[in-house]
Amino acid sequence: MRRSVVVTGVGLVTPLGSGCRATWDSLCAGRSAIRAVTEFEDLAAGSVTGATVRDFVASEHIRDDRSTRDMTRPVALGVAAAAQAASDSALDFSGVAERVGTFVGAPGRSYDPDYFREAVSLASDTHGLHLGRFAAAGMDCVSPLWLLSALGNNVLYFVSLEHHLLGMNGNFPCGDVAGTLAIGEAFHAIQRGYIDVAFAGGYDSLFETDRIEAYRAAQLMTQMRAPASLAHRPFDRHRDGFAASEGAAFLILEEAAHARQRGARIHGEVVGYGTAAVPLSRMSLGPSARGFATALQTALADADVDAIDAVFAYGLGTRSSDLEEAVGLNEVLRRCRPRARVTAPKCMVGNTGAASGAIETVVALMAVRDGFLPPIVSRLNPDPECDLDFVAADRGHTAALGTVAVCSANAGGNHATLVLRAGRPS
Amino acid sequence: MPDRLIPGRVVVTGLGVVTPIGSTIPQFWSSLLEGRSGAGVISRFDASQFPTGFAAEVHDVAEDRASGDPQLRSLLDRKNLFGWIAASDALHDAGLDAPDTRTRIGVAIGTERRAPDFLHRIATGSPYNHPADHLRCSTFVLASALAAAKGFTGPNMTVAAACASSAQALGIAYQKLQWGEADVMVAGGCDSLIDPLMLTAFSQIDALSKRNDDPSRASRPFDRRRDGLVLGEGAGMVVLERLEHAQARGAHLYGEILGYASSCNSYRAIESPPDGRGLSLAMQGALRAAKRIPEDVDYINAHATSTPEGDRSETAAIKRCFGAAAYGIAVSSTKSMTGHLFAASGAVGLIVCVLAVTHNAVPPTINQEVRDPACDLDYVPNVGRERNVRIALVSASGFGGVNAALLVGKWGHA
Repeated sequence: MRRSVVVTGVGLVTPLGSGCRATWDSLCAGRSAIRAVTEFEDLAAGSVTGATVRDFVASEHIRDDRSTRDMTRPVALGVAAAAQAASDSALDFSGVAERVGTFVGAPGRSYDPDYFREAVSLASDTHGLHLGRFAAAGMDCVSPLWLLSALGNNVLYFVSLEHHLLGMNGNFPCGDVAGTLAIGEAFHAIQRGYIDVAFAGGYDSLFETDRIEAYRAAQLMTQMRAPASLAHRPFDRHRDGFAASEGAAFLILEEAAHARQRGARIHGEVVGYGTAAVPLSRMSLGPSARGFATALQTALADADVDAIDAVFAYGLGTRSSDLEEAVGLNEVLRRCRPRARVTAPKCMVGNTGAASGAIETVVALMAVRDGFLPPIVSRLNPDPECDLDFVAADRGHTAALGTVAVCSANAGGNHATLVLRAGRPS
Repeated sequence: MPDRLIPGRVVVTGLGVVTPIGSTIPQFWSSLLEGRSGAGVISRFDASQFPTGFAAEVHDVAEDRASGDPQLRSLLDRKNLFGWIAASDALHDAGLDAPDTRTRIGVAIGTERRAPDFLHRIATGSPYNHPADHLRCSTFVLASALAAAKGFTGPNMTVAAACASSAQALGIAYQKLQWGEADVMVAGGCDSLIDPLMLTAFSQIDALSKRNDDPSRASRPFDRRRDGLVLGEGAGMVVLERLEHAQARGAHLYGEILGYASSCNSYRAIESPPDGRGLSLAMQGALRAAKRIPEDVDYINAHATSTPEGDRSETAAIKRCFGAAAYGIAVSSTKSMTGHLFAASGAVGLIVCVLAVTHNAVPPTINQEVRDPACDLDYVPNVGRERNVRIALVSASGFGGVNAALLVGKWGHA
């Protein structure tokens, strides 16, 4: 008899707002957070069409506000979302410290040139950087705090410190599947009896100089500037790439009997997790139809279900990924009657990278709770090659939702899917 | 339906390494038993003006030793190429160069995103402007490239836990095999911190040995005169396999993975708790998972990096976990010879443990000259020795306060 895993806490920080209510209300109303982002000066060549978390003050969300000094922006978003989830769960972690796991989808180590510019400029001339000069004089200008602030597992560290967690952990810098992977690994760990509770989620901000440059060079980001709010156009005929974004989401996963015994509020249940590493090609890796199909099939098999009511698609908004996703999902969904409805929250939130799977999981749970799928506001000219039962652009879809899937993929051709179910009444 | 309802057994069927003391298994093992150090003056860039100008570099692997798809290899920087080479060697060692297509194979890599040219790029103002750059500078590129090159569609994980990365990757791979998510997992890690940026960052937190006049004697874990770690580089990759699958194809079995656990310290970001409680939880968890007791362990490949407080903390952790039995265990830190391989260290440590159980010998901790009273275990000082090793444990602790421990047993030992 396998253990059941329920969600007893959620935390969300997105460009649509802090806390679940703000993001969900905007999604239901079809309000996009995507705009012309101009505030990151050093992201050269004009503006980026994207979405940012506005008016975020770390110390308002994080109990130990001294620690926020050591946090980069994305790390602060992650820690804030985890704090919200912990509070929402009303769980006393002190009694279970060794049986609590921490699983984080992360962006990887950060490299902020601002820490080094002065030092490098002191040691450089027209011929380039002179390491001898850098070592002798430049190094003293580099803050020793860089190493600490740039750690690739900082959210895991701060969360474990805040709640005195001692147990199993995993930090996964797996691009856009990272958040989904973290939740899936936490789910299996509880199901298999290694732990009883887990923090699971993801955090990211794509607004780092190197990354924006690199995405530009790969032509992955949308060039549409007006109306910017409709620029991230999943499965649309004119789609041209994603809107860069940032955010974080965390869940508290808990073994079901443990949750019911303490009268916890149950947001929903995680019932399946599947992955597939199938790149589109050796030239460009990237998501593939077979990858999307296999990950979904594996997750459904893991959940022991044949059909689902809705899919929260990866919806990256690029020509290739969306086509592959539509073909792959259709291969699986066309066997179900009725065919599952498909929505894509990135159309209003943008691409939040390692946070996306976690954010979309929280959105899916709210959708199941309310029986409503948000519209795909920017899919104004449907691409006929993307043959799925999409939610309309001008209105969401009201329906009882029992079981849903959340799909993710990454630029390396990895795919991950979660299957979620409504929480059963206790 | 779930693949399995109870966890199955997992064996080691292939090994591959790239290290400063050898990049074939026989070379690596004989260097370890000889007590050879891989440390020397940094050759790849001018480090002469830095407070520490030496490290343990990989010298005997030309990056063109990497074979296989050139398109995919072009995505890989130096440390990822080390990982690619070690993985290829491990697969070859396991007899899986061309596996049966029905075999479900996955990949688990412990590594971190590195940017060895970062300072130079700031100096020259060079942006990322190649379409493959977003992949090249991702942490997961090696895991994806390996999967793409070999058609491995199984679970594909990248783990970043600083110095505990590859130990955790191995543990996750082990657990996925136990529960039947795959038949085979290629797992391990790779890293290189020998670049001006990391030399700067580690110098500034005073973590590096400054024994510039005698690099080969600088890494001296547990010794009274230790003054910091020695940067290293390399990769360790292992083929792990479900027992039934390995036996069905007649694979050579190096040993069996018996248990794994990870833990958090909830202490400080870059310091270990003096009482070693976090790491001891991981060790205890691995023993419990393996259903073994402290007295069953004959060898520990310690994390110990040659820092004053880290080595003390680990000694405390070993005693906390093993109690009186700690004094009967041979404990050595092969970082005394390889330097600190960071994300790759756990995997290379596991390989040392596998070699120990198969050869019944334990490598030394070299550069032991003066006893530190706070570190009083048997660290196999200076000279390796023969010993019947039934079960070995590898431990790893990383920045961010995370730990991992793995147990490996001699194949056929009950």
